Amino acid sequence: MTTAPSDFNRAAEALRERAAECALTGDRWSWEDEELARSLGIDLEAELEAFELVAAELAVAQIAGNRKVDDAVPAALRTKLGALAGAPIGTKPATPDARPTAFPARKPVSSLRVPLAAAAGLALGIGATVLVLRNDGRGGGADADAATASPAAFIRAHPRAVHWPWVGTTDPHVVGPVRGEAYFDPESERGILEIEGLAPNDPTVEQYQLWIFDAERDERYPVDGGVFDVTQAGRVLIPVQARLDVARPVMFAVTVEKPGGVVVSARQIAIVAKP
Amino acid sequence: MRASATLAARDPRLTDEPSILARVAAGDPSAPNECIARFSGLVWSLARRLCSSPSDAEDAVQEIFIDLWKSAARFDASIASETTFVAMIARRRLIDRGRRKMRRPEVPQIAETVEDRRDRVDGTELSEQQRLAQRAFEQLRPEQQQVLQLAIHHGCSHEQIATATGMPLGTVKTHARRGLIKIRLLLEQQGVLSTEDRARIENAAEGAP
Repeated sequence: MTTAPSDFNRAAEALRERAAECALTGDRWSWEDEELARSLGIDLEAELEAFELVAAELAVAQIAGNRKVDDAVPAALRTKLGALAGAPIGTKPATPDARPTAFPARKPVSSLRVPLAAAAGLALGIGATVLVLRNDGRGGGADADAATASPAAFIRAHPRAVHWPWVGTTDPHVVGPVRGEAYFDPESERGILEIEGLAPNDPTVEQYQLWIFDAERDERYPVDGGVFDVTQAGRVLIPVQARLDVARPVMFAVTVEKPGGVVVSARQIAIVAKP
Repeated sequence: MRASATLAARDPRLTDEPSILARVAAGDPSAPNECIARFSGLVWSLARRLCSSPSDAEDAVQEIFIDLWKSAARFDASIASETTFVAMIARRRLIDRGRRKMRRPEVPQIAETVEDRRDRVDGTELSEQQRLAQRAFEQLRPEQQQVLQLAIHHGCSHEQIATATGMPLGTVKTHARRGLIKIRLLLEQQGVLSTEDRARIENAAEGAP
């Protein structure tokens, strides 16, 4: 059966209108639309992007032609963006009870991967998980905004975040009952670590380092979540900002490493959080 | 970037200077800060208009720049200007945030929507590309302008627009999509936009009242 030109045009028009609507609303078309588009040789994704560009062009023109007094970027936001871009540590405000640090430049990832066989397996008490920790070369950055947030505020802001309780190992850095949870939102790739039970560290000697295990990645190569210090006994809040995609976090681990963090962990795991 | 449409880079800055986004994608350590310096004003302005509060907008801006750096490799100067690409990525994130939160900004007073000059900063000048886009917009019917301005500039849902304007929901949707289609056609006719399939766009635009 062939499609008459008028039918084709009507169907194509309807699909294009649907793409235009989706560009404005964020909706997605139905699979029936997708099938129809395929049969007509119309690339709906391309159509959507074309209309998104038109809408963006209009938005830019409207802003340029109608700029308002409050369009100036707040200074505090500029500071946060600078931190996000990897500005020097001095530009980042310290958190009240923990001192997240920036990540030093490191060697390219490709030269740092360690074959599984070359590393000793590490059986954790809460589940035998073989770890070969590596640094991803980009690390994560502390986020000053999240530093001031409570876990409850974080969950309110990121209702789809995962949060799992920490479990301590027999590592000597675990100095009391381990309490708190790791909170992480894969969409914004931001998180907050609430930890109690870790010993304060001397950052000139050693630092704690977070590793994020992603179901979408080889479990031997977790994502580096950054280094941090515990400056006082008791509860600490550590903000996290991953700069690599973490699609489906399945476990968090905190190791004890030399200052600045490492590319391949000594596998001295202090605490772990998992479902 | 996959698009059948091409927005010509008309702003000389976009062709004379190296692409910041290409440098971000290539790992140039200074590029993210330059990207922020150049586009944070635009992204903040978009976020302020589509977010419910300044703090929400601040969170959104940070997310947008992370999105932008991840998407930087997809930028193609032959398809769109950097400014347009950045605005597109920003709008995607802002629309997505709005949908996730299931709440939209308050619907502005209709009197503000078409010509709001109260807080305008004097001396703002449009680039040639922006002027062409604005001119295309002004060629729409007033109802289409009103609907698109509420949708794009204020981030209103179709339902909110229907409530605010008193138009039936179906009419709002029709004005929105046909207005956007017509602008796409007008931009193409003005040389700002070229599509691979102009005839079909014209057919769609002909249906517009």
